[in-house]
Formats: sequence, C-alpha cells, structure tokens
Amino acid sequence: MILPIVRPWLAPTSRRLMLAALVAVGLGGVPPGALRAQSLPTVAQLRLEYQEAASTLEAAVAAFEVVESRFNQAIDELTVAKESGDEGRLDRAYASAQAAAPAIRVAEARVREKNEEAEEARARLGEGLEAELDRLYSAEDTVPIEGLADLRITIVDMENELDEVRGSFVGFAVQPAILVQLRIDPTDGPNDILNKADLLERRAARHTANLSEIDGRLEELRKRQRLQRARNTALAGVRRFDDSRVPVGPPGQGSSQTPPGGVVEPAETIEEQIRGLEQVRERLVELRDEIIERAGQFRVRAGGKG
Amino acid sequence: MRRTAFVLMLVLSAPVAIAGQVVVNDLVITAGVAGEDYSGNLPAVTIAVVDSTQDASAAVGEFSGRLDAAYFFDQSHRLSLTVDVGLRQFAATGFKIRDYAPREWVGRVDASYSQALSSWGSLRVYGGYKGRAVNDRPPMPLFLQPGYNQYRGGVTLGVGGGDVRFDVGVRGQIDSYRSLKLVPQLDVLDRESAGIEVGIEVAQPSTNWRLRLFGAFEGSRYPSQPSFDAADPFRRDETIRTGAQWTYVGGVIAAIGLEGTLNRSNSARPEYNAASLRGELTAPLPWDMSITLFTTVTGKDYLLDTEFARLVPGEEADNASVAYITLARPLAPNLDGRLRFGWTRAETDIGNSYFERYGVTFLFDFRPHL
Repeated sequence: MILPIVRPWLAPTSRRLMLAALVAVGLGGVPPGALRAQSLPTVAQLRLEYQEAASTLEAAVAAFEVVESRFNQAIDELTVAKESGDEGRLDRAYASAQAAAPAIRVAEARVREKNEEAEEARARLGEGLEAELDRLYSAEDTVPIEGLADLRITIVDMENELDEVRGSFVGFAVQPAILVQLRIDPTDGPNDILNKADLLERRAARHTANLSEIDGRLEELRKRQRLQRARNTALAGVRRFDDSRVPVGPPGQGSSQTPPGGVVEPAETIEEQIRGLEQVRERLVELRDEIIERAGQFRVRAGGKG
Repeated sequence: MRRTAFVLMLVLSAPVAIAGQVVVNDLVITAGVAGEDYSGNLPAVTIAVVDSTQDASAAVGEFSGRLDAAYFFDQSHRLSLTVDVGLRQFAATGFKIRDYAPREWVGRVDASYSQALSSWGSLRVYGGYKGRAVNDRPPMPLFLQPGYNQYRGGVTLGVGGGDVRFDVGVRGQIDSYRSLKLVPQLDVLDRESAGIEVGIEVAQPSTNWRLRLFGAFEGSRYPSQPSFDAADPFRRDETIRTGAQWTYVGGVIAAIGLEGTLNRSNSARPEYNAASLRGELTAPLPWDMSITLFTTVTGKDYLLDTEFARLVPGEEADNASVAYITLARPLAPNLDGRLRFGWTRAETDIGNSYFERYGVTFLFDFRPHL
C-alpha cells in the first residue's frame, strides 16, 4: 500500500489563467525580457507538466496497489495451501508468489521514479511562479491606474498558488496494506491499541512461519542445484573432448538424448526458481519487519513495553 | 475510465524483475591433470602414421571453461547460451618411432531461443557450432578424434501440457573435417545431414520421472567419400533411429536410454544395425560428496562382412563400451574437487582388432559466480 502524505493537487487554475492573460494584455506592451521568456516554459505550461506528472504518479501508485494485492493474496494462499496439505496447491501458491514478487519491485521502482518526476515538476512550477510574480511586482510601477486593481488581485492569487505549491509535498510512503488498515483511532483506548498490536503480531508470526517454509524449500532447491551442477560438470567434462563418442552412426552425429528437464526447455531452471523464491523471501522479510515495528509502536502508545 | 485503462495497461505491461536481464546459471573454470593408458591394434583410416606398439601411456593436463546463461525477454521468451571451451595437452610415451605431444583445442557455442506458445505448446529454435583442432596427432592406440568444424541448427515444436507432450523437430548439420596434407583421407568424413524427429513425452510430476519415446529419420551425404558405385559415386546414408529415455529428477538424477539404429547406404560397407544402451546417475554421498556414473554400451552388426579392416575408431567398430565414474566434493565455497575414472573399449570381429583406454583424472572446478 502506498499512502499519499499530502494530496498532490492544486486548486482549479482556469480563473487565474484568464486573469493572468488579461493582465498581460492590460499591461499594454511587451514587458522587458519577454523575448527571452518565449524560449522558457510559461507558468501555464509548467502547471500542465505538474498535473501530468501527478496524474502519472497516481496511476503508478494504483498499479503498485494491484500487484501488491496480488502478492498478498498469493501469500495468504500459501498459508491456506500449507494448512490443507495439498502439495499441488502449495506449488501453485509458490508459483503465484514468485510471479508477483518481482512485479512489486518493478512497480515500487516506478512509483519512486514518478515521485521524483512529480517533485521536479513541482519545483519547476514553484520557480516559474516566483519568476512570474517578480515580473508582476515590477509591472506595478508601470501599469495604468485602471489596471492596477486587477494586477494586485492576480498577484495575491499567484502568491496563494505559490504557497500551495511550496506546501504540497508530492510524497508517497510505501506501507504494507495491513498497516494502513490497522491504525490507531483517536477513540481507541489502551486495550483497543493492544488488541491491534496483537493482531499485527499474529500476522507477523504467520509471515515468520511462511519464511521458514520458504527457507526449507530454498535449502531443498540448493541441494538439487548442487546435484544438477555436479551432473552437468561431470558430463560436460566427458563430452567436451569427444571421449564418450560411441561407434554408432557417422562422426559428429547427434543422438536423441533428452535433457532432464525435457526435450523442450523447461519453463524454469533451478537457478530461476531459487532466484524467484529469494525475491519472495526478501519481500516477506520486509513486510514482517515493518509489521513487527508497527506492533512495537502500538505497544509503546498503549503504555506497555515496546 | 481512462485512468483505469492506464492502470490496467501499466499492470499488464509491468515486466517481472528478471525480464531484460542476463542470468548466469553456471560458470565453471576447470583445471586438472590425468594419467591415461591405451592399448590395442585397431587400425584407423584417418591416421597417417602407424606405430607397431600395442601399449602407450600419457600424462595429460587439462584446462577448460563452461558458461551457461540465459537472457529473458519476458516470462515466455528467452535466449539461452552455452559456451564451452577446452585445451588438453598430452605427453605420450611408449611408441616405437618417437614420443608424441598432442594438443587438443575444443570450443562449442550453442544458442537457443524458446518461446511459449500460449498454453498449448512451445517453440525452440537452436543453432550451434563446435570446433576441434589437434596438433601432433599420434598413431594408434592413442586415439584422439580428428579436428573438425561442426555447424548445426534446428527447430523443435512442443505441443501439449501437463502430463503428456508431443514434440516434432527438424534439424540439419554440417561436419567438415580438417584434412592435412599428409592425411587427405580425413575429407572422406565430411558430411551434410538433415533429419526429422518426433517424440512423445509422458511426465509424472508427483513421482518426478518422465519417459520419452522417439523416432527419427536422417539423410546424410558424404561429398568426398566414394561409394564404389559408378552410377552413384558418393556415399549417401539413410538412418532410422528409434528409442526411449526414462529420466528421474529428485533426490538423485537418473537417466536410462535405449536406442536402435538402422543405417542404409548406397555404399554396402557402412550398412549396419545397431543398438545402444546409455545410463546416467548422479547421487549425493556422505561428506557433501556426489557421484556421477556415465556408461554407454553399443552393439553393432554390419550387413556385409569385409575381409579387411579399414576402420574409423569411434565410428565403425563393431561394438564399444564407455564408462566414467566421477566423485565430486566441495573444497571451498567456490571450489570443487573432482576425481574421475574412465574406461573405453571398442572392438571389431575383423582380426580381433580392439582399442582400450583407461584414465584417472583429478580436476578442480572453480565457480567465480555462485
């Protein structure tokens, strides 16, 4: 789960845009430095860039939530499958978790990237507004008296917008969904908070159990990998110099030796299975540690020991 | 709505972390020494020099490397690459004429592209090159395969999923031997072939075994080998192979293969029927050790008896047996030690000719990338 710390959105700007356009016309001339400004993006362009960046960020966050939910479902299914004792179901649950774990990393990285882009767009908009305000301040001395009131309204509005932009922190904190669901409510008493801490710790204990199951699987896979490598190295050593060539068929003739994984390449090698499982493990450890930390915070808030 | 579509597009297009990455499955650098003993009187048509000794021996140094890697375009497309190179230096003694110091250089590159075809099958396109060169090739009985360049490629289509899969593949191969001024007869081994193979594989995931039955037809032509038929002067063979292989991957890795070959030719001499039995077993042993057994036994029956032996060892002996036992043990986190015992015997009914080889090899396998 990704939480927006502050909603990264600005107030509607169409009124301000129109005002700014009117003032620019009312100024009755090309302001100094306008030719140079033509090559720079206008405030309107910067606003659009920021809105686009914020929109892309929101979409990336939503995509992250989808893959995170898929991973959580796979982990829950892992627990259920383990309890049911159905090996096939357990294998399928592992396959789902392995497929979802790398996607989380990708989605997380994308959120971080889009976060940075939105933050840069925000900074550029802030700078653009400051520059525009400087220009308007200097126009106060030259604008005709009938346009002064409109100009000051525009300045005040733009100052407010600048404050909003400076204050809008486009940050998203990545948090496990369980931590979002379980928060301390202002009406919660110490017992309610302790109950929530218990709930979190039970969830962490389930993850710990899943982790030891994964560790067992990893150990088993590594044993198989050692055996597979011993076989491949031994056979490659014999075949490398044609020492195993038998007197059937012409020299160099291929034979129908089915590799252990089948005649068509296997969907996943042992190395890939290990890698996939390690990614699931990594994600699960992060999840469990965050939950334990939050449970500790709850206990401290409830007045107990952390 | 637009946002939902965009989110959906992001989720669907989100590649797994492995996509776009090169994964090194194994990288091994091997160095070792061996002692080998050779005996026999099997003549070889591809060797120019002859020595009257029936026993020779050699000290051998070996250095080799193997890389097994894959590039993942996405979850259903991958490119696999295997590179294997080696150098073996012999110091041979026991010959009447002189001592020899043959050196073998070998290199092999295999690449394959695999693609899952929805849920109903998969496609594999592969190609490879194997090259081999031998300097100071000794006379028999120290038999070393001659140098050659081999190019091969093919396509395999697998159909079906779950417990039963069908496969059909076509392949082609060109073998070009490195003939020398003194050994022009090596050209007779040059060969171009193409074939088709079909198979059915039954897998039992719950018991970790699979069984594959296959049949193959291959046509070969030898552009430099005379057939002794004026109307059709160069040798052409048609070969039918059929067999089965059972494989088990679990606490041990085991494979047993049985293969029958019928070779027919426009040249009467190389027409034969043959049967070959192959076994492989890799099993863990106490003290972190593992054992790998590899054995092949072949029996061959020529349709036309000849009164003289002009034989190519490794090809046209009547029967042969190959057995290797390898014991391996980790010595350090990146280093394994390997002790290998090897035995090869090939023989023919003609003049009781035979070739035999014994070897003991000690090797270190270094894996810089665990």
